[in-house]
Parts: sequence; structure tokens; C-alpha cells
Amino acid sequence: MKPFVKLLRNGLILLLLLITADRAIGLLIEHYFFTEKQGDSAVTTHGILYAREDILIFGNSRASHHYISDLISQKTGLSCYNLGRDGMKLPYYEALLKSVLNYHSPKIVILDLNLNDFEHQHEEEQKLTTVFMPYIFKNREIHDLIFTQSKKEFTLANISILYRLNSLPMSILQHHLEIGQKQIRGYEPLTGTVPKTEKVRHINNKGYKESQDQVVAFNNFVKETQLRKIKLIVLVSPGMKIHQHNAIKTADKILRKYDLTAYNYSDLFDRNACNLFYDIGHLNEVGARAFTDTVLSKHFRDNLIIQLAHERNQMNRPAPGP
Amino acid sequence: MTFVPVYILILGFTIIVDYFAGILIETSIGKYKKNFLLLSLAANIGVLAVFKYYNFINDNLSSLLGTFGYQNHVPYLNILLPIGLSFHTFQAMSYTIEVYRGNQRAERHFGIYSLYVMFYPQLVAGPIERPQNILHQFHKQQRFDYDDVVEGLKNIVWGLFKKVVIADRLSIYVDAVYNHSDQHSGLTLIIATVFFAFQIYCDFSGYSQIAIGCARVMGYRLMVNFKRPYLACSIKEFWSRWHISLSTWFRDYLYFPLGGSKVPLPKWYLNLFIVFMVSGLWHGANWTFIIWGALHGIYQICSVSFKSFNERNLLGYRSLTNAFHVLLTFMLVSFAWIFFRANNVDQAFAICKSIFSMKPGGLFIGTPEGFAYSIIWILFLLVVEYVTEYYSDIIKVFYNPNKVLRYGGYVVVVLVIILFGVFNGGQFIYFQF
Repeated sequence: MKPFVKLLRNGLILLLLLITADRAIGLLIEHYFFTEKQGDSAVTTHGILYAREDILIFGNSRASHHYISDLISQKTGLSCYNLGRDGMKLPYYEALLKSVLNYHSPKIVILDLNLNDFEHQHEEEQKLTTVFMPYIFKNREIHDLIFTQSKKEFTLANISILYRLNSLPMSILQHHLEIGQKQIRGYEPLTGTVPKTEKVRHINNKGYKESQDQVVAFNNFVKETQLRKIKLIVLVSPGMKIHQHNAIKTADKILRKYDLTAYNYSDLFDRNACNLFYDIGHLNEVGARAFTDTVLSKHFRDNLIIQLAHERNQMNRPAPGP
Repeated sequence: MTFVPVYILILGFTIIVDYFAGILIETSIGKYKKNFLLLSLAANIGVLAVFKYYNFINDNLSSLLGTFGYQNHVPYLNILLPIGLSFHTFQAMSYTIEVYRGNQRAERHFGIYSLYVMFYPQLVAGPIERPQNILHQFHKQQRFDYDDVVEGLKNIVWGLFKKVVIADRLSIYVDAVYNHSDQHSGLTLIIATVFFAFQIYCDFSGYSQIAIGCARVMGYRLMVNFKRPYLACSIKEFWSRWHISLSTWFRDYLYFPLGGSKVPLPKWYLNLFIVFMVSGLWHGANWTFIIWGALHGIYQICSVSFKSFNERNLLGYRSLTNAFHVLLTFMLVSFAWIFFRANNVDQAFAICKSIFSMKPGGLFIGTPEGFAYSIIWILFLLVVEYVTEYYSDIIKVFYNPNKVLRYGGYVVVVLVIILFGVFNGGQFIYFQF
């Protein structure tokens, strides 16, 4: 056989083997990925495929540790899911919201804004495609997003299932073995307190620069909710790191167009910080409960009244007789 | 990285100078022969000096004059460092030196000489080839060779594995720690330094293997650049396994001309020190690289001084003693890497201080899965290197006569690259030199 023909033949055999192995192993890993019950990916999967709740909470790790979904459901009588994910920023919230809106319109959306959420972060785009890659063929919105952001990633995702699941096997194993933090309807409680020596830090971030990508993503997020007539609540939850130059001003400017405003609770727990915080950025379980109660009393008063009346009706109703 | 087309003229300049210098050296006699060599060396070193060292020297001059209250009025040059400059300049110099020594005939074909300097697989980061090894290959007409293509592809795949699966994975942790080194504990800094040792090895040896593989696909054989350096029992052995093309370059064109080891002991020590200082400077115009080179120079001097002690079977069992020496060598090399990786000298010394004082604090993990992958791939690499070193026959998955096993090996490696590779890891570290 001529050497070039031999190379071509063996190359084709190898390619066939690679495609078969990629499909077989890829489908197996994909199955375990989409059946995760815990972990960041499980939360994103819920948002992209199954989020049919009345109240949805968007944000990063601060959202996921600060809003107790079950408490909100219990007090308002509305179903709730916390879609907060560690390390994410506004373009992620926007993409996730659009994915949800593809198949469901929630009644209320809570957006947990960070004081530094509009700051420039140059690798945001790459991170987004990585996070959303496994869902490329599960949701039209994600499909279009990856296509727009990176043609190369889109092509590779079409060729290989394993590429879509790049670097995920370890976390899939971890979450199926239920190692690490547990989430309850997206809320991830933290136990423990910040060292007593830690004080609230007021940061004078003079060189603060806004990223247009972040601002545009926020604008789109707000616009999407208002087009669907979804009640939007934009909050900044408590923290021990308070930036002097922050996102509130810009957020308010955008929200004002829709008669909305952003609520800043960043210094809500200044005095009792050490008992309520897990670290300088996150509330512990006690702090999260206190904060969720505050949010409920200030922003869900109508729902609470309705729920209270509903509960009273239940109690006053005569017991069914024999 | 920026593409500046006009920078091709730099390469063109050294090619033209060295091409004619080679012919003139060969056809001249006596002091003319030497003068043409000196002219060629001056042109090459001059280009290197202007583009790589001018601003560094000027900067240091400013600092020096500043301490005496004077101001430096020499202007800074607003220039970029052309990619691979140190590599192709050294390759060009080895040509004229070998012609001068009579080990290589001057190349008359301008195209082939240009190819010798610009051969794309090894243009930007080596291996720094010798004319005796590569020039004659360019004269042969290459025909399609199945074995060469397959061998080349195997090298490319293995090099890619080292780069994207190991080096780029480790770089995530190393960058996170080294870019905020003041915020991390001594333990974290030790782990980041060990990770960097493996990162730079896999990054550079991965590149070399890809370069060797690309050349082999086309039928050309480049020299081996790495031979499992972290299994070296001494610093001397480390340098016979690490960046072989550069260490042999310095040996042949600097160490031996200085007198090598055939001089009185103090001069020998000085020679060793000079060679490694220059090697450090070759890497980059920064004091961190010079200190890195100096450290290796000191290691070599100590290694020579305590040679008989090193050869003693300290722990009673030869294998145990060898393992101890391997570990000690790795620790010394890793310590020197701190200076290589640090952004500046102050940071390097601060990191050393944190490590030696075991600065308290928790262990930074980054992402748990990323940290776990890093550990797994380092252990995997060590097992592969150890088995290849001592039991080379059992690991030849790529060379197994059983076709099923061989193809299985190919498939597994490619799938591991797809599933575990980091594809936004950036450029190769050695591209900056």
C-alpha cells in the first residue's frame, strides 16, 4: 500500500474511533451532568431548563448565600428559587434571565447587585461561554449567545460533546457524591462567623472604571423584565466591603426610566457585623435569615398581607365535619 | 503579542550579515577570518543589545546616576522585543562560529541559509539548532515518509497534552497566587512555586516537542531539548537534561572558550558563575533572571566543591540516596524558579521571606476541582517520567506492537486533551525570550 494511502486509511480509522468514543463518553458524562442535584452547575441547569417558580433571584455568590428561598416561599405563598452563582456578573444574569424567559415568565425577579458590578472585567466573555457550553443545544438563547460570542467555541461544541463538558468531570463526581456545600432551592447556607478582628471596610476606589458591557447587560436585564411586566426588585445586599464609587448611581439612572429604584442594604448590618457575616463578602445563615426577613418586610408587604389573610382564612375555616 | 511587519527587517539584516560573513570567514585567512567572525558576532549581539537590553541598561544607569544626584539624559527607546529574537540570534551565531572553527562549510545557497535561521517550527522558541545537525537536511529532497509523519504527530499530540492539560491548568493557580503574593501564606506560596516548576517544564518541553513533531512531519529531525530534568540527581545533571540546546550552546561557545574546567580552581568557579549569569541575562532583561542565573551558578560551584560528598551513599541504600538527591535538586531548582516567575526582585524576596518564615494563613485552593486536576496531572506526569526513565519498555503505549492498544492510547490522549485541556491558557512562556 502506498504510504500516503496508508496514512489516510489509518487516519480515518482513528477519526472514527475518536468520534465514537467522544459520543459514547460524552453522552454518559452529559447524563451525570444534567442529573446533578447540588453545586453551581445544578443551579444553572435549573435556570436554563426547569425554573417555573414565581420568584426568581439572580446574582453571584452573595445572592446564593443571602436569600433563603424557602423562607420567601413560606412567607409569601409564592414558589421561589435562588439562581445566584459564584463568580458571575451581569452578562451571566442577563443570559440566564433570557433563557428562563424562553419558556416561563416569573411574577417577581430579584436582582442582587454588587457595589462593584459595573467594574471592568476583561475575561467575562470567555467565562460565559465556558459556563454555558454544556447547554448549547438545550436552550435557543444559549445557542445564539455562544454563536455570537465565539464562532470557534461554537464550532468546537458542534464537533465534540466532550468539549462542551470540558473540565467538568471532577465537579460532577463531587456533586454526585454530595461533597461540599449543599443548596436548598438554590440558597447555599454558610455556617461560621468572620473573625472578631474584621471590621467593615470603606473602600475609596478612586480608579473605578465602568465597563460598558456590564452596564448594557444591566440595561437589557431591566428592559426584559419590564417588557414582560415582571416585578423587578434591584437590591444590594449587606457586605463588609463598601465601595465609595459604586454601581448604585448608574443603576438608578437606568432604573428611573422605568420608575424603579435600586435599594442599597450594603451597610444594613454595620453594627453587628461579626455575628452575621461568614466572611467580609458573605452573610452567614443567621445573617441571611435577618436579611431575607428585611427584604420580605420592605418589598413583599403586599404579598405578606395576602398570605397572612390566606393563612387566617385557613385557620377560621370550620373543620370538615363527619 | 503584536504583529509589526517591519520587524522582519531585523531578521533580514542578521540573515544577510551572517550569510556573507560565513562565506567570507571560509574564504579568508589569518586575522581577516577572525575579523569577519567578530563583525558577525557584533551584528548579532548588537541587535540583541538594542532590542532586548538597551532600555534595561538605561534604566539601571538612571538609578545609578540618581543615587549620586545626577540625571540620566539618554533617551529610552520605544520598541517592542521581536518574538524569538534570543533564539534565532543564537542559532545564527552558532553558524558563523562553526564555520570559523572549520566544523561547517559556509552555506552558498541564500534560501537555504535563510531557512536555517527562519525554520518556522523552531524559530520562536528553539530548540537552538547547530548547523551541523540541520543544514545538510535542508539540502536533501524530502519525500513523504509514513513513519516520519506518524512519529511527528505523536510528538505534537504529547507536546499539546503537556501544554494544555498540565501547564495551562497549573498556570491558573500559579497566576492567582503570584499576582497577589502578599496575600498568601507560606504554604500556598510553596505549592504555587512547585506548581510553577511543573508549569514551566510542561510549557517549554511541550512547545519543544510540538516543534520537533512539526519538523519531523516534514522529514526534518531536530535535537531533543528535554530529558526528564526533574529526575536529575544533581544540578549539573539537571542542566544536561533541561533546555539542552541552550546549555550545550553556552558550554561550546562560552564555557569552553573561557577555559572550562581546565583552569585553576578559582577561575573554574568564575567560569561557571559567568556562564550561568549570562544564561540568566539571555532569558530576559530583568534582575530577576540575572539572580536566577546567579543562583544556578552558585549551585554549580557548590556541586563541584562537594562532589565527593555528593557521591557518598549517605542513606545506606543507593536508591534511597538517589531519591534524596533528586528531591534536593528539585527543591533547589524550584527555589530558583521563584526569581524566574516573580514580577520583580522585591516581590521575589518577599515571597522567599514568606516561605522561610512560614507566613501563617490558610491554604489557598482556588477552585477545588482545578486544584485537584493540578495535583492529579503532576502525579501522572511524574509516574510517566519515572517509568520512562527506569522501565522504558512498559510505557510505550504509542509504540505498542498491538494495534488495538496503540490506537487506544492515541484515542485516550486526544480525548483527555479535549476533556481536561485549558484552551484559554495564553501563549508559551518562552515566547517572551
